[in-house]
Parts: sequence; C-alpha cells; structure tokens
Amino acid sequence: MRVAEARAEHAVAPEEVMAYLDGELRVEEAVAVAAHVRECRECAAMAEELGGVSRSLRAWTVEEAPERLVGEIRRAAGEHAEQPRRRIGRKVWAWGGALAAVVVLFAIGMPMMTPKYKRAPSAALIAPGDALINQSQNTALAQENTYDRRNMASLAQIQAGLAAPAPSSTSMQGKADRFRGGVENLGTGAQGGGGGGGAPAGYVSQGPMIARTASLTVLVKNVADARAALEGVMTREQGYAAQLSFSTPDGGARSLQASLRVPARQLPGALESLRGLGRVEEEAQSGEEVTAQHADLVARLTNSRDEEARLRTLLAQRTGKIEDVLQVEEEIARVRGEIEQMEAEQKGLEHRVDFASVELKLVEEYAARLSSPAEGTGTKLHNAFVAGVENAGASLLGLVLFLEEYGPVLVIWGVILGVPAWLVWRRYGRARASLR
Amino acid sequence: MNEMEGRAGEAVGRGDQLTDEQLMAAFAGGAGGASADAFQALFHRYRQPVYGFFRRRVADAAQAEELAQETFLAVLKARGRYEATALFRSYLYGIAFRVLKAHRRKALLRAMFTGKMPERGQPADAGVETGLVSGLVLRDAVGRLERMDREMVLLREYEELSYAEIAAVLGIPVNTVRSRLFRARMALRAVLTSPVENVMEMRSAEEHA
Repeated sequence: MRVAEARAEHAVAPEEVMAYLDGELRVEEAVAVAAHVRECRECAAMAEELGGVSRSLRAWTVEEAPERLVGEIRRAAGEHAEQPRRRIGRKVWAWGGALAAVVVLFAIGMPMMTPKYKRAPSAALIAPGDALINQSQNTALAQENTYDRRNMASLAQIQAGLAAPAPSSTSMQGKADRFRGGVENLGTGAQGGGGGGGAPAGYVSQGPMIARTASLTVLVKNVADARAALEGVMTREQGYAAQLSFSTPDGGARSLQASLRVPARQLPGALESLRGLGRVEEEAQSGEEVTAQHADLVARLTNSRDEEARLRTLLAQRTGKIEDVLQVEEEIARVRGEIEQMEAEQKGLEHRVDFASVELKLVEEYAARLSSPAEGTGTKLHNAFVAGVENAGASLLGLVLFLEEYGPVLVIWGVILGVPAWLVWRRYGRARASLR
Repeated sequence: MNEMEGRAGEAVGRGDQLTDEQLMAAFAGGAGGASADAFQALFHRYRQPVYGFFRRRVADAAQAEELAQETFLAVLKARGRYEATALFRSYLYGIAFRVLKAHRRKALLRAMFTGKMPERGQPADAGVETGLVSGLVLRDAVGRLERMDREMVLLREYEELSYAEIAAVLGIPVNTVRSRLFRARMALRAVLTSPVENVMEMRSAEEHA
C-alpha cells in the first residue's frame, strides 16, 4: 500500500515492474519498463525486493518423489488401466448408506411427528372393545342359529324322561337327531327343521315385498287451505295421518309436518294429489325390499307353530311324572310367547308393505317484513371490535394450546435434530477457517 | 529448481527431443508401445514437479504421493479429451488442481464428521536455509496468505506458470491474476524482509515524498 502510494507519480506502475520481471510484457513495454527501472532508484529497489521474494521462496524445496510412484504409474500405463474400481465401489456404498439412513430416519421420525401416533394407544384400547361387541353379536347370531336345535335338545331330554329309556346316547345332538326321527314317526306332518318352504300363513304375496317411503316438501300459499285439501286427499285415498303437527312461529312461515300412511297401491295417486297442493321443493322416494326378511320370519313362525303342535301332542298322548308334565307346559308357554312376538313382527312388516309412509312438509310462502331498522355504523363498529377481540383471544388461546400440546415434542425433536446439526455446522466452520 | 532437474535428468529413450505437446499427441493418438513410451517420457518429465505441487500443498508426504498418482492416472484415463490447443503443462496442472480441490473437499467433509481439523498451512520441509529467511518462516509466510493469493504465488514461483496459465488453472481473469499476485508478493515481502529493512524503506519513501 505504502509503496503503491509512493509510486503514484511514476511513469510505470509497480505491477508492470513485476510483470517485467516475470517476463510477461510485450517487447516494447519491456524496453520501456527496463529503461525506467534503470533510472528510477525506487523502482530498481522494488524490482530487487521482488526478486528477493522469489529467491527466498525458491529455498522451499521438496524431496525426491518416491520410487513407488514411478512403479505404480508405470504399471498403470502399461495396462492402460482404468481408475481403481475400489474407489467407485466405496462411493456407491457411502451414498447408498446415507440414503438408507435418511429413509430409516424418516420411517422412524414421521409417525412420531404426526399426531396420529399419539392417539394410537387410545384407539388400541377401543379396538378390543369393538372386538368384544362383535364377538357378542356373533354369539347372539350363533344363538339364534342354534335356536331350533336347542329347543329340540330340550325336547329330547323331556322325551327321554317321559318315554321308555332310549338306548343310551352320549351327545345331545344325537338325541336331537333321534328325536327328529321320532317326531316323523309320530306323523305330525312336521317338515324338516331347516326349510320353512311352505306358503306364508295369513299373507298372500305376489312378487317382491317392498316397504315404500316417500318424503315431500311443498311450498303452499296458505297452510290452512292446504291442510283441508290434504284431509280430502287422505279420505279419497283411504290413507291416514300417523302424526301431524302444525306450527306458527313468530316472524316466520307457518308450516305443517305430517307422517302419512297411504295404501301402497294408492301411493302414486296420493303423491300426485299432494304435489298439486303447491310448489314442490323437495321430493324423495325409497323402497326397502323386505321379501327375504318376511320369508325368514314366516319360516321361523312355522317352525315354532310346529313345535307347539308337537308339544301339545306329546302332552295329550304320553303320560309321565308330574314334573315332566309341568316342564312340557312351561315349554309350551315359552313357545307360545315366541309365536305371538313373531306374529306381531310379521304384521308390522306386512303393514309397512301394505301402507307406504309419506313424510310431508307443507311450508307457507313467507313474505318477509322489514322487522327492525338496519344497525347503525356505530353498532357495526362496536360489534366488529367485539368480534375482533374475541378472535384475538381465541387465536392466542389456540397458540397456547398448540404449544402445550406439541411444545414438548418440538423441544425434543429440536434437541435431537438441532444439536447434531449445530455441531456439524460448527465443525464445518472450524474446518473452513483452518483450511483457509 | 530441484524438480526441474527431473526433466533433464531422467530423459527416457527417444522422447527427450520432443516437446510436451508432441509427446502428448503421440500418447493420445498413438496405440500400443509408442503411446506407452510417450506417456513414460511425459511422466518422467513431470513426476517430480507434480509431486512437488502436492507436497507443498498437503501436509502428508504419502498423501502427496497418492494425489500425484491420481493426477497421472487421470491423465491416462482422459487422454482422449486432450486438445492440442492448450499447453500440456497447463493441462496437467489444471488436472492436478482439480484433484487437489477434490481432496480438500473430502478432507473438509471428513473433518466435519470426525472432528479432526484438516492440516493447516504449508507442510513440506523447507530444509535449506538461505541468507535471508529460514524455511519455517517462509512456509509460515506463504501459509498466511489468502487461499487464492497463496495458490497464485505457488503456481508462479514453483510451477513457473505464466499469468495466462494461472488464470486458466484457477478460472479467473488474467488481469486479476496480475493484480492479486502483485498484492500477494508485496505482502510476502513485508513478512520476509526484516523489520529493520522495513523501517529504512519507510524512511526513504518519506524522503521521496
């Protein structure tokens, strides 16, 4: 720096003196610089110093290259060898390892980071409960399935008591089978346990049995008139209202809500009439196929009736101890109860098929009135301010809640990931500093 | 100038009258024995300089040897890519410099993971004492230069590359080489010359002003 300033007025820049010494100048430039250096004492001194630096540096010598190097290269040249394989292999391994490490880290880290993981234990606690419920349902089903068989088994027991002792059999099942044979011998005309193929008693069905439902929302001019019309429709179609409610809210449209039952055959006509009440806003129809359900019910009913008949025959024809007679009567009472329950169920089902259900909603067209004058600017500002304060509070609370919930996790991961990162960064910094 | 002796001393066969570039052309273009001979000739010319190049830049002699070997292997491998427009010398040192950079990068990475700091400064033994400074001082002085400046001084003083060649190797403009080289040499002068001389220099400068 000092030198550069001192030589500001020289004809030749100090750098050029250096370039001259290094032999980097063109001939004419070199001649000019040489002439200047000869005249100028300082430039000569500097040239001398630069030369001195170079001379001093030459003092740093290096020992002979080891002979080993010669041998290695000679061999490589002779073979025209490629670069050693080993190196590439190592690199591949290193990258592969790094990739695998990253994948493993993610695999371990990601589930831990996501909240799902936290909830997993409670889910696991719930799961067995579900399983239990399923299991109990299954058992219930199984019980239902084995229902007839159980009855038979108990019957077999009774029969064994009443009749002359049958050849000893070890399993209940065996007894039941034997009993079934016996029943056939008795000639009650009972069909085999499984089927229920007979025609459903008391109900003649053609084609599939479908329980229909419809829902309808109609906008009407006047609900009172519409109600009168509705009643007319109901009488005409031989339907009835299972439930009906009428509401007249303050400052709102009057409305009528009704659950109607209409004979299934009459349903299309009834719906048509109902649509005529006003403007249809919403309409939906659905049909539930209950044929299988009904057939199953009928079959079970038949079985139970057969069983009852068998029991009665048993009671009439056989004689035995008084306890056994009582037991048979008890059994008859139980079967009777079941039969009645199933009959009620059957009736309900048939009713659902016979009578379609229509959920009707009549809404009066409502002419809104200007109730209260629009709120003033002051009120608006006030309301907005209140809402703002509430929102701010809510979001602050949310932040606090978030920190409470995830703070510890974040801290843990910050330490786990941050500390090594920081260490590596520090090392990197040091390494750089010392390499410079 | 020790390494230069290698050129003259170990001339091999018929290769010793040809220039580097002619040898390289023979090596790159030829096949079989002629090509191998050309490479041997080049290798014997540059064995010592390339070894010196690394010996002055890395701490460990064995490391320097390995890097020199790697450089020659790279020349062997990449002979198809040599273009006759460049001087073989700058081509060779360009490769050497890349090898060196790769080595430093790896060392840095290793240092990051192992925690051992990479070697520092200028390693080779400068056993010879001159009238002015000891080898130790010299090494220290060069080591104190900024990385790029140091590289330039080394390339200029020991590998004896021209400014243009230095610029090509380091990938910077020639003008930058000139100005930075000047700055680096001035800095070295300040370290290498004794304090007494510095004071005298200052005085003479003041008188002149």
